[in-house]
This record gives sequence, C-alpha cells and structure tokens, in this order.
Amino acid sequence: MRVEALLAGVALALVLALTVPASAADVVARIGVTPQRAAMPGVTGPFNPSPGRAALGRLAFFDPRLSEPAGTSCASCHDPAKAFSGNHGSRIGVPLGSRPGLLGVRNTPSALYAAYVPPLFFYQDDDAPAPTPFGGLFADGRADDVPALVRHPLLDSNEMHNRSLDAVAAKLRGAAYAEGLKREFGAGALDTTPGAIAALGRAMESFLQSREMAPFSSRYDAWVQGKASLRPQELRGLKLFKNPDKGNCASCHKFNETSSNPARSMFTDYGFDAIGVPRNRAIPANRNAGYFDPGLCITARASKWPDSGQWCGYFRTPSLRNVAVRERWMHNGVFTTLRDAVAFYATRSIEPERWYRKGELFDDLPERYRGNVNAATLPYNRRKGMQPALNDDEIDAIVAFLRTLTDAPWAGRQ
Amino acid sequence: MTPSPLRAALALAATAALLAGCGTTTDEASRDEHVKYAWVVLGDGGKPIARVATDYATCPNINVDDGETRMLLRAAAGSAALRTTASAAADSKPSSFPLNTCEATLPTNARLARVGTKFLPLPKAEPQRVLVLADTGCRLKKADNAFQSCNDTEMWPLAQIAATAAAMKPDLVLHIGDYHYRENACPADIAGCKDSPWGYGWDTWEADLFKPAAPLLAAAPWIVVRGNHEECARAGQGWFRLLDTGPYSAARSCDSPANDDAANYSAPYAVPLGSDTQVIVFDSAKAGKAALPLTDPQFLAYQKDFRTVATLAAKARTTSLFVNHHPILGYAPIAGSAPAGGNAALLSVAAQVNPSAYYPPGISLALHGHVHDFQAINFSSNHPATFVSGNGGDNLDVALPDPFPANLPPAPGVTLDKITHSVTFGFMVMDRSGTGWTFKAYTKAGKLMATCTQSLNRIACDKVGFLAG
Repeated sequence: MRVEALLAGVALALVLALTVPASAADVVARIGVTPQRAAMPGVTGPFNPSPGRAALGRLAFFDPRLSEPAGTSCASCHDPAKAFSGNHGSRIGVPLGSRPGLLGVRNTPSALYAAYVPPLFFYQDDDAPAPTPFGGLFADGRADDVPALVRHPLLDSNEMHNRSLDAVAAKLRGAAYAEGLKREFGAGALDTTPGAIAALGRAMESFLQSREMAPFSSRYDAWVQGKASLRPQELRGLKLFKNPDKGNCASCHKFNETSSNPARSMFTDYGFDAIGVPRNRAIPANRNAGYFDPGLCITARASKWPDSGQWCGYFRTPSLRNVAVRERWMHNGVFTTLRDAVAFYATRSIEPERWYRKGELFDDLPERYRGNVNAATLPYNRRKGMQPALNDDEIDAIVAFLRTLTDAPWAGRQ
Repeated sequence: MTPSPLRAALALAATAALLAGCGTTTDEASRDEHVKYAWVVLGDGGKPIARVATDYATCPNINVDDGETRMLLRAAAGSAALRTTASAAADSKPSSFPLNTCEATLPTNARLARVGTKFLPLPKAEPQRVLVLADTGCRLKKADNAFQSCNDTEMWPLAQIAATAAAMKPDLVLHIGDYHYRENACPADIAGCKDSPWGYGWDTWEADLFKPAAPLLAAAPWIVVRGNHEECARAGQGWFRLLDTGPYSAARSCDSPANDDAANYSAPYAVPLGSDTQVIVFDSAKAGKAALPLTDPQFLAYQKDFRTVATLAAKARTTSLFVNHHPILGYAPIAGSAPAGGNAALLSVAAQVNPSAYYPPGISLALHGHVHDFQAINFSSNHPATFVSGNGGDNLDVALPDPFPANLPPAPGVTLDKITHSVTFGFMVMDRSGTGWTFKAYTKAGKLMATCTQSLNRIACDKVGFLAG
C-alpha cells in the first residue's frame, strides 16, 4: 500500500505550537524545500508578547464556537487542568473531536512550551554522516508557521470539523473578541478569510508565548536555580536519565542541569526518532489493518526530500516537561502509565511479547518501514536475552525524576 | 608573531649545572616551575622526541643518560593573527601560545632522560603493551549547541581514562586523533563547562589534553595521529607546535590559511613496535565525506600518501598496523538506518591505489578513531581486520545495530565476518602475544569488555555483537 493511501481519511491530532523566527543567513543548503542550517538554534526565549494579543489568543483558544458543531475549543483537548494536554474525555489515548464518537489518531500533546519549537530544518554536525531534520510543528513537523498550524485542527474532520476557513473566518467576525482582533491587527483584519486566519494565528502565537504557557515553575526549574532541592531518588533518576550506559534519555530529551537557565532544559532536541511504539488497537482507524500513521515521511514527501520513505515511523521528540500529567503516553497514546513508557525503552526488544501483540516488533508500522526504527540508541538497542539497561528500581527513579518536571499549577495532579 | 610576556628578567638564562644526584638544577630554565609539561612523541622510524612546554625564554637542559644538552626551541611563544576557523568570526579568536615549545631528539636506546626533576618516559626496544585511545576532548561547540560538562568526570571522563590506563603501565600510547574539542565559549549560565578556555590556543590544549592526560604522558611515549579536529581551521596550530613529529615551520604551522593546502596533509611514516611490528601513521585530518574525483588535489595528495604506505608496508617480516583517524573499513552508526561504511573520500583513493584490496600488501590491521565507539571487525574477505577506538571522552555516538545487518560491507567487495562493538567510554590495550598482538577493550573504569586475538590480518574476539558498558 502506498503511503498516500495510508493517509486517506486520516485526521491528524492538533499540536499547538509556534514557530520561532529563524535567520536566513545561516541557511547553507536546501533539502527539497527545507533549509539546512549552519548551526543549531541557540536558546530561545523568554518571549515578551503583547499582553493584549496574548489575551485575545487566550480567548480564541478557549472559544467553543470555533468548532463545528460548536462546543469544542482548543482547550477541550489541550485541557488546562491537565497541563494543556488530554483527550477531550476519550479514554483510549487519542482525542474526541467535535462530533460524538469521532476520534483522532494521535495523542494530544501538551501545548505548553510549544512556542519554543523551531521551524523545520536540517542540520549536520561535522562528524555526522548525513544531515538530519529537527523542529517543525506537530509530531510530523509539517507546519512552520502559526496560520498553517491553526488551520489543521480547525479543518480536521476528526477534530474541530470546520468545512472551510471561510466558515472559521465568519465565526471570528461574530466572536465576542472580534473588536479586539480589529484593534490589534487593523480595522480590516477580519474582512477577508486570509486576514482573519492570520489574525487568529498571530493572537494564538502571542498566547502560546505568554508566561502562562511556558511557566518554567517546576521543582526541577527551582532546583537548577538553587531554590529547591531534589530528593535522593529523583537525583538518582536524573543521573540515570543522562547516563549514556543506562537511560541515555538525554541523548534526545536534551537538558542541562548545570545551567541556571531553565530554557536550556527543554528535554528535547526537537529531532525526530522512530522508536517503534506498539500499535494502539483501540484507535478506531486502526481497525483497518492496513492503516498506519506514517509520521514524518508525509512531511518529507511534501517537502520534496529524497527517499522520503526513510522517514516513515519518525515522530518529533516531545518535551518531557509536564510529562507526568499526561493522560496517555507516546504519539498514539498506547501507554496508560508513565512507568510503562520508561520501561518500554529499557525492554522493547528484550521482552517484545510484553509490548507487542504476539511479540511482533514494531507492529504499528508496515513491514517495509520497520527497518527505519532506531535500534541503535541505548537503551533500546538490546537483543532478546540481554540484560536491560535499567532495572525496576532504576525505572522508578527515572519516573521520580520526571515527576519533578511538572510545573507548579499541576504539581498536585500527577 | 608577537613575543609573549615571558619572564624577561630571566631571559639571560644561565647555562645548566645540575647538582649531582638529586635533580636540583642551578639552570633557571630547567627549573620545574618553568617546565610546565614534558612528554615524548615518537616520529619517523620511532625516533623519540622529547618536548616541553615552558614559560621561560630559554629552553631547558635535558639530561640523557650521562650527557646534558640544551633543548632546542621548536615553536616560540606567541599569538598569530586571527585566522579563519571552523567557527563564525564572532566565535573565533587568535590562538595564543604563551609557552615556548622546546624539543630534543633522543637516542632510540636512551636509558634515562630528565628535564629538571621530571623523568621522561622512553621507548622500549620491544614494547609489550600499547594503550590506544582517540577522540578524547571535551566538546564545546556553539553550532551544535553542544556544551559537554567538562568539569564533570562522569560526563567527560578523560582524566579517569588516563588514570586507569596509566595504572596498566603501557609501554606506548597510541592516540588516534581528535585531542581538542573546546572550540567555542561556554555560555555564562552553564556551570558544567564554566570557566573553560575556548578557541585553539594553549589554554585549551592544556585543559583538553595535557592536564587530564598527564598520567599517560608521564607513563609512556606517545605515537600521535592527527584527527579532523586538528586540521588547520581548527586546532592545527597547536597540533604543529605540540604534537606533530616533523619539523616546525611557518609553512607548517596552520597560522596562515594560505598554507592550509600543504599543512593539512603530512607524509605517512612508520614507527616500529620492536623488531616485528610497525605502526604506519597516516594523516587524514582533512578527509571529507564524499568520494573524490581523480583530479581533485585532495585525491592526489592522498594517492601519494597511500603509495608511501605501500612502500612502508613492504618491509619484510614485519606486521604493519595502518593507523589513521577516519575509519576506512569501519562503520559509522546512524540511528534509524543501516550504518554507513568507511570514509568515502579515503575509500575512493584507496580503491584506486589498491583496487579491491584498499590497503597495500603487508598491512595486517587497521586502527582508527573518529566514530565515538569501540569496534572490532573481522572480515572473511582478504582485508585487514579493523579496530575503532574512539570512545575516549567526547560525547558518544549511538550504537551499531545488534544483530548487525547481514550483507552490509563497509566498502564494496569487502565481506564482514564478525563485529564486536560498544558505546561506553573507554580505551583499548594491545598486548604482545607471541608473534602477534592481543587487543582488549576496557571501560573507563578498567572493566575488561572483550579480548581479540590476532592472526595475520584476522582477529577473533571472545564476544560478538554489542557489549554493554
């Protein structure tokens, strides 16, 4: 089956994120239409959005009129009670949309810290054999700017289900905050559909840049600033998290605990990885045995990358900030506990029967793409029969450390 | 060049006169407080070259057996004008070398050598143990947004590796390149690398190599191989001042980019390991990632070098170990993809000079760094077994897949037999074993991971596949 066919009828879940302006000066080449940059982005933020625009974006974010039928706002899935993640009442790992019984195919990520995600780019360090992609909004990196971002959930039939951007623009013109949008973006800002969607996107961008959406108020953040202490088990978990022989989590979920700037600890490198998570058989779309979520390779094809198939199964490494507050884990929401998510890394290939139906490795990818799955990065490089890199106590310690990444508003809810 | 602020008042240094028996000297230049570091490198033919870094204007005396001579100035302290570097101009600065580098060629059979109270390690006629490591520096690179915790021995373990390895009492150290990684400034908010020197001057060389590796520099003479981090636009200036075994000159200093086309290459040479083995040192510092056209100047340079290797390897009754930084018949792991093979630029030349064989007759084994892991590779085709020992301290690579993919040669026409590999920090030890050598992979703490025995151009390891650290 061709990948295009795999996508037929697929609606992709909302990832609210915003682009960071990037200088064109460091573009050294293009791979397809995607820039290859001379350097990785430095530390981003803090942002200083206009309070007025951020307030407008917040109103739009919580506006249930923007769905069809009305009743589902961005916040319905990106639930503030759950650190702006959640699945709108669904219990199967992917969100309910605006219509009863219709569900998406990806677990809702947290919208917190989304403003820190850079636009899609390639980078190759001098020792790397090839350039690799980073950044981009959504788990498949498909959107570089906010207008492109917002249109996806607004139009997705399994999410907010608007029939067109014209319909969205009409709702914006009738919104209680329409006058505010006009004051901020010009009297004629809502006159045209592109203008209205752009105003929505820019307002949403400001909201996502606000302190509310990037609070850096976790115990970890206080600890790196010398304002709190971590417990022995949490500190042990931190060491295991970064130890290249043990969890090695920091090889992708990058952080720097020696920096007093929490923005150096986003717990992601914004890179992509194919980790071969088990198939979530509760997702309605997965009742079709031929359906698979191909991830980055759709973006790769749209962006004219050579050999786009090599990126099937890749999803962007998420930040682990507030990971303990998630309802479900992994891009398809297959895991019900954070501990399972950590244990999966340690034992994926050692105990495949624990994770995969009939022990069939990487069963959420068609066979021809299973070779894309990363079998090189520790700890999931182990063969069946080998000792896992992490024992149960060590997994518990890592989970304990991850719980320190929960921001203050949700500290009691993990 | 501008003179460094050496102690001018002492510039009229007295001639040496060592007080008998205790190593105390009346020669001011030879006093320990001036001689900051002393080490020995082995050059062409195994020629031992004693080197010191001194803050004194005059080179110290060196006592060799019963004689005393003054060392010669190799590279005067100074700071060259800012040159183009691998970093943006805003992240570059002139390389300052406030210490003089002095040297003295030693007799191959010298029994004792001393500068001040510092006794220098000397080569043995039949070395029994060779310590092998590579890729040892602490990565500070703005473009990668990579700031390794140089102040944390867990995260940058060269000092631990050097101490562990020195305790094994090697007769020689073979460093296969990439000594220096502190290219850009550590951001002010990162304590892990706080106060680290950066750039390409002496302070970075001291922090990345001379201080942490001091036990190994004191333990044995070094065979030094140049890595890509020592090409001219990076740490090439320090390479020529401190480690390169050829004569030092302005044209071979990397101070001026105008000379890079010459200074980025060095003729191969052989260092004997006793009477039956030799290491052939090959400079691949500037090797790129792509195959080279036949007329490319780099192709021609490496072509000449591979022909020299053939001449060196033709030495009768000698086991020749080919050593360069970039793996040729080795692998580069890629997360989520089959590993890449050897360096394409070098392979394109090797395939032209030695069709299908890649190496000339006489090469038994190849040793490399560059990939930050350990690899021991045996081939069922008639190609030299290959080691990669690049796990000496810089950030590690991802692992090679296990099981290793079938039918994945590192170069066309090569057939993999078995591969043993690891991605924990560590080093390798070569122990003489009869007429051949035994190769042992160790973790940074000295835990033995695997032992491989050599027979002609084959190796057999006691473990196969991935080794956990």
